[in-house]
Amino acid sequence: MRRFDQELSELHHQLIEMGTLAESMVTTVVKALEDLTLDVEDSLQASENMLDEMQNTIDREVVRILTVYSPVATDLRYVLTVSHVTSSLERIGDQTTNVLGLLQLMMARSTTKPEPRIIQMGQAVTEMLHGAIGAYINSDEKEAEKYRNRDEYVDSLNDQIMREVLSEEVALEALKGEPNIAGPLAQILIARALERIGDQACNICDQVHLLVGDHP
Amino acid sequence: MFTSRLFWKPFVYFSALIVLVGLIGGFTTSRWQKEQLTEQLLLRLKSTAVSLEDITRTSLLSKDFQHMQEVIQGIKTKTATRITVVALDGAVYADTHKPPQEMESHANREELVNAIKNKEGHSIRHSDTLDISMLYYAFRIEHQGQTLGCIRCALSTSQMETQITNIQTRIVKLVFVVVALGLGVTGLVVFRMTRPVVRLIEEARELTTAQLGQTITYGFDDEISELGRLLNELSRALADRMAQLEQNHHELLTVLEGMDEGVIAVDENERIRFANEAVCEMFDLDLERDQGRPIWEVIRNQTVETIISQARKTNEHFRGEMELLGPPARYLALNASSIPTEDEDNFGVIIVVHDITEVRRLETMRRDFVANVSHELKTPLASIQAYAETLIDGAIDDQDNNRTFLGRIVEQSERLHLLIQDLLSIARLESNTQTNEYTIVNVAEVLERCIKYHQPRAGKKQIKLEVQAPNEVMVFAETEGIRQILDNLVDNAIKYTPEGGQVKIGIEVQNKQVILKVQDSGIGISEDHLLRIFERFYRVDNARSRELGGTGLGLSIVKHLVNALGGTVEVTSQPDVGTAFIVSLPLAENGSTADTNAP
Repeated sequence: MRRFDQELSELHHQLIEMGTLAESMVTTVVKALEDLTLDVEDSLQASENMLDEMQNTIDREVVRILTVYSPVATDLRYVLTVSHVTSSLERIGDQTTNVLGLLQLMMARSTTKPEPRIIQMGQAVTEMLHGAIGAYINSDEKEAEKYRNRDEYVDSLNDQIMREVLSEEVALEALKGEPNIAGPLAQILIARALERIGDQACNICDQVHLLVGDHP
Repeated sequence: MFTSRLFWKPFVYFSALIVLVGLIGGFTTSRWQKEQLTEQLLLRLKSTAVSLEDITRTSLLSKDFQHMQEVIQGIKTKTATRITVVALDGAVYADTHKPPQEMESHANREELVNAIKNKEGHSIRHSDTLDISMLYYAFRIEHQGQTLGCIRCALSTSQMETQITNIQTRIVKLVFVVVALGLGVTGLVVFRMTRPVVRLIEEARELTTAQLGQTITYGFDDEISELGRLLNELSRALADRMAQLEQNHHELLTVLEGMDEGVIAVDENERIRFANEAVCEMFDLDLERDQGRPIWEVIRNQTVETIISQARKTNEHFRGEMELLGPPARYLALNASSIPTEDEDNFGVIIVVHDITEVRRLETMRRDFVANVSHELKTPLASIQAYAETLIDGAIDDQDNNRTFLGRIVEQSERLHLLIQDLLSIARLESNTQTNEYTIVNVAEVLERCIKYHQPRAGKKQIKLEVQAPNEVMVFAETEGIRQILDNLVDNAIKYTPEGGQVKIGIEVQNKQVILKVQDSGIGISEDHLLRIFERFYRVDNARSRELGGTGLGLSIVKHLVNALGGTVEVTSQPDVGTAFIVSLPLAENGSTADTNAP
């Protein structure tokens, strides 16, 4: 194997490792939402730090490969998309810590539990992310399209939660002058964070098209 | 054939040898021929010189060369021999071809120098005088021990050279023919010798690519055919062994595929070598696509990666547990152990995956059960304690309330009693000890009593109880069991139906099965809960159920009883519309009624 190919496959490995880590973070946080536990805080934080470090390593590697080898065609497209995917994964990591922070707020300041629809959203984005990374690795446009379309479902769940929580609870309580809106607020923000994770998964799906590169 | 080194190598060696021998032979022969001819010529010249010795001597002694000149002119015209008489100092006294006066001194001529020194001498060289190549022979003339001069005879070599060229041409032609013949014969011989071997090699080569067990059809009969036979035997033995291996492999594969547990093997580079169907289904793998790909690329799960890297590093067994997403969520236990590969420092890993979802569920149930029982027992006890303490603290004298408190104590005690009774009956049912003997029971009759018992409560909630049953439906059971089943179902139906609703109870016989249906128009049960309502202490809504006085064991008892009687219980429900429990029990063979349409 040429040295360049070797380095490329090493990059591939690192990227998949990072994807796996991000996936496990999302799984962990969704599980925490289900079980209402905050035990995972430390491990999630550790994962988040590791994810950042991985992103830095991979980005440096990408720049190095670009300058040293000046890759062309498929290789160039791949290296460029890697950089996009890592930044998406890093943002996903950020959102998972956000979700856990909001869960903390919810549990500390109110008796509200995450809505079942939030759990549904969580499961949906977990699946989306797994599917998106799989589609990216396999350069499978069909799969990418399939998981990209799940975003509509996640968005609609988010809209539903937003509408219901806002109209029924928060608006009323806020009007009544009762300032304890932490529960509903956390509800909305968790939903939004999950929705963002879904969006980042979509971004990864979009990279598949660039990777395959049959399009202008 | 002609690309074979086996042919070319000996052929080239032999050919080189033949050409070499031919050249040496030709060269030596022509050399020898030339020497022979020169020798003959010299002999002629010598005899001429010797025959002229006397006359030359005389001439030299008398210094009169007139006669000499005449004699040698005569010889010249007959034999074309040039004859020269030279004095000791090199002066020419007589010559056949030129007047002696015009000739230079011949003292330095090679043949003359040699002749003066050694009595005779010869040489082949160009004659300056005649301007042609000549063979010279000189002879020393002595008289009483004193050298007088030399007589030299010479002949042109042109004739001899033509002769030599002729002979050499012939020799070259001969050598050429012999060499060509030799090459041809060599080629033929080498070809005949190597052909069988080359042919065998070709056949053997085909054997390596062809189907196993194929044999060589070698068309010669010699020692090499023995080799062919051995190769055939080898091929057959190999085919047999391969078939056996194939079969073993196939058997192993069948066993692995048939396992409920997932089995996945990765090599030293963490590439997937094998995965059985169970594992493919669990991790959504496609063996055709994913075989040979790194496992971290395909499965992408941290737990899997961690235990693989641990097992590879330490060459030990490792266990891990993971949750598999996607409805329904599943729990998997992974067992990884390293397997040796060709690379001694690097291990592959085989992972066995157990689905422990069910185990987990049972564990949770047991844990919940203990917690539930403690809780259920504690609540009434706490009430009793509180009321009793209040009474002791002086409330016993409070004429208005003391009776109420005592009433509550009795109420809670009854609740405790009920709970313990339920627990006991479950324990009895679960331990399968049949303390009561079965008899033929008329379900309709038991139902009638049951309705009578529940009528007042239904009436209070203005719930209409509708019964549709034949007069006689016999099952083989114990009366108490049937009563408990009906009691629990009807009680639940009334409990969870709001005021003004209705409860339909029907019994019919279908296919030798007694179908007992209790349908209400109550609050219903949502789908998430439907599967679990037969679990002990499972409550759809904890608060409401306890408020209504349930122990949380009713349906669990129903299920156990029905199972003990060899029947089944099913439930269908729709939230806010109603719930229907359908119990089917085997019909007792004698004494039943087929009149299912009776009111």
